[in-house]
Amino acid sequence: MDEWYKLDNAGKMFHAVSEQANSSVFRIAVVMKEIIQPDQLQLALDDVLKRLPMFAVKLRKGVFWDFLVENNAKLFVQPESQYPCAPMDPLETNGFLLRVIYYRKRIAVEFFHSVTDGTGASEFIKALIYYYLTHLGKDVNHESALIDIHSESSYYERDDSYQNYVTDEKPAKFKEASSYQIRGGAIDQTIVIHGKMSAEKVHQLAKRYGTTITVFISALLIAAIYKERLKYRANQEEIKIAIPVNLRKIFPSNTLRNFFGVVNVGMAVTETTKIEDIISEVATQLQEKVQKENLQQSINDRVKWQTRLTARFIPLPLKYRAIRYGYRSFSERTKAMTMTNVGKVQLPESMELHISHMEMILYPTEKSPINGAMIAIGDKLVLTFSRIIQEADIIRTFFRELAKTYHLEIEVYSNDSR
Amino acid sequence: MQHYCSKCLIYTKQPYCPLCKHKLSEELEEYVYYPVYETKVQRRGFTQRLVFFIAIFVISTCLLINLLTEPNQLWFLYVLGPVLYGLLLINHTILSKAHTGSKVIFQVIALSIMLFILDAASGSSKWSIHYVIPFLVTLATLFVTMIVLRKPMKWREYIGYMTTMVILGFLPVILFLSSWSTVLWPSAATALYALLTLIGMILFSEKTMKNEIVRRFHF
Repeated sequence: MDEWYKLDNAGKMFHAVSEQANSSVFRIAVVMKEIIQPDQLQLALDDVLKRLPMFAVKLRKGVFWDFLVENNAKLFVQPESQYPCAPMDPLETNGFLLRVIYYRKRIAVEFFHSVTDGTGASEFIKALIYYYLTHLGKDVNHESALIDIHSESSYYERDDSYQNYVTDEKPAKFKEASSYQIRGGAIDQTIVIHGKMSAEKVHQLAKRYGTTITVFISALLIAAIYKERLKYRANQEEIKIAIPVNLRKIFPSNTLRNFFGVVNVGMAVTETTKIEDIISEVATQLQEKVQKENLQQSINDRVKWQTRLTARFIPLPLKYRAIRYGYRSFSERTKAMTMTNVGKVQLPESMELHISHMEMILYPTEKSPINGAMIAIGDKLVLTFSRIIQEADIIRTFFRELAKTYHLEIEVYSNDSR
Repeated sequence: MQHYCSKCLIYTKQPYCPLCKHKLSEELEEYVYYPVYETKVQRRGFTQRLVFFIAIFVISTCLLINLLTEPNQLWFLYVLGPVLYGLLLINHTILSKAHTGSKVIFQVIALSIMLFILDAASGSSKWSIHYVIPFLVTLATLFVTMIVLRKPMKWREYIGYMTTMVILGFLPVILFLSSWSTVLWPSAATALYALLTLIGMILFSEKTMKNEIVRRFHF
């Protein structure tokens, strides 16, 4: 057990800010066509952790920064018994920063965000499903743009790409305007509502407006938030949606660790604003913000605060306090909600055959109590909202609008049994 | 079986519409997608809080009685030390799931503080600084060393605690040099023992130790 990794830039942040009401734990799940066999799943998990060792880690305390070390304990698969995205309890997971859960036909993996991001997580679950199906005796093959499952793990898989792409350019100072924030009656559990629909039909709808699914859905969300929360007031705040961007597409990288940026898009809506207006505004902003120069800037920004000499030698507890303060007052205040789009998961035909659909759940936080995530496989697009407030008004309006105006056939299901 | 909610215009297998909670079917729920969750009773921490409350109760009551009756003689210090120590003993050493290494260190620190308070309250003949604290540190270092020797696999986990113990081992000598303490030999013996432990750590751990220091102090 000599292997150790520094936490990557985003990993340090998530580790610092996670607490009971902000678990920093997200879930990616595959719903299979058959009931899950726990024994085979356990064998598959053992294989995956051998192939992708950077996931088999635990957190250790350091003087200036905490870090990850190899974890030689066994990670057991467990039947689902807790609400999604519960905080990671090292006693429950044998120190691991992920848990593998099954319920009926679903295999879910929940990750502490310090370990990986959505892209890394989907690689992990793809590998897990591959091994699982192999142990079931199915004839399947694996394909991935990032990893070659049949060879040893490569050094690139554990790159800290933020460090690799940081430049000396001085970041331009600008302060992001704050956004309207969703409030509601707090509840203790994470309630999730999934809406399953045709990926192709949503794609066609977006195309009709000359835009992408991400922009289309974000615009609809802004409209739903306006309709439910901001319609009757004199002062119209901007409603902004935070959209995580996979940096691997612009800055080539094979890393399975965190490598994403976040851009906020949105506008102030009024009674006369049409959905077309929101779409075009969001599309323009998004296009502008995902320009390479702008993302480069955000990488520099992120790396800067942790490499500043003064910041380096501040003892950890003080540092964490500062990070938490920064997170609350800058990062969380500039958005109403996060909507992440993992996109269409590419799997070989032989594997897709056994899969019904996939789910992605982003943890809600105190200041961002409803968060959304979408993921597609084949023609099944699943849009999931998780919330820690009682009110489902925005989610309800959003789905009703999709069904009413755009005539989409949506199957909705939830963990809210009543 | 799919149901249709005519209000929300969506389909669902659940007997209630997940969006508007409208009843769609008389059927019982099948729990196709999510289980019925176990409701974990939040018992954790109750005992600790109770002990903490009792400690506050005892200390404040004694303080009040002391101040009202004999404000010139602060006998409540005799209560304060042992109660605080008892608090740590129960809440940390016994009830918490903290690492054994950290429990040992907390014990050393708490015992030292308690004995020092008792010493100070009983006329300050400095027996705690002169004799007890140095030997306490030595004993604790020996204890951690023994744990490590018995479980060499866990050696890495204890490096941080061992280092802390070694640093604590030099504390009595510092107290002597700053003329707080006037009896040299127990302090000196403790420092020597700490030094020997340190040398042993370096000699027998070889690469592990260097690697561990690099990790822990990376910035």
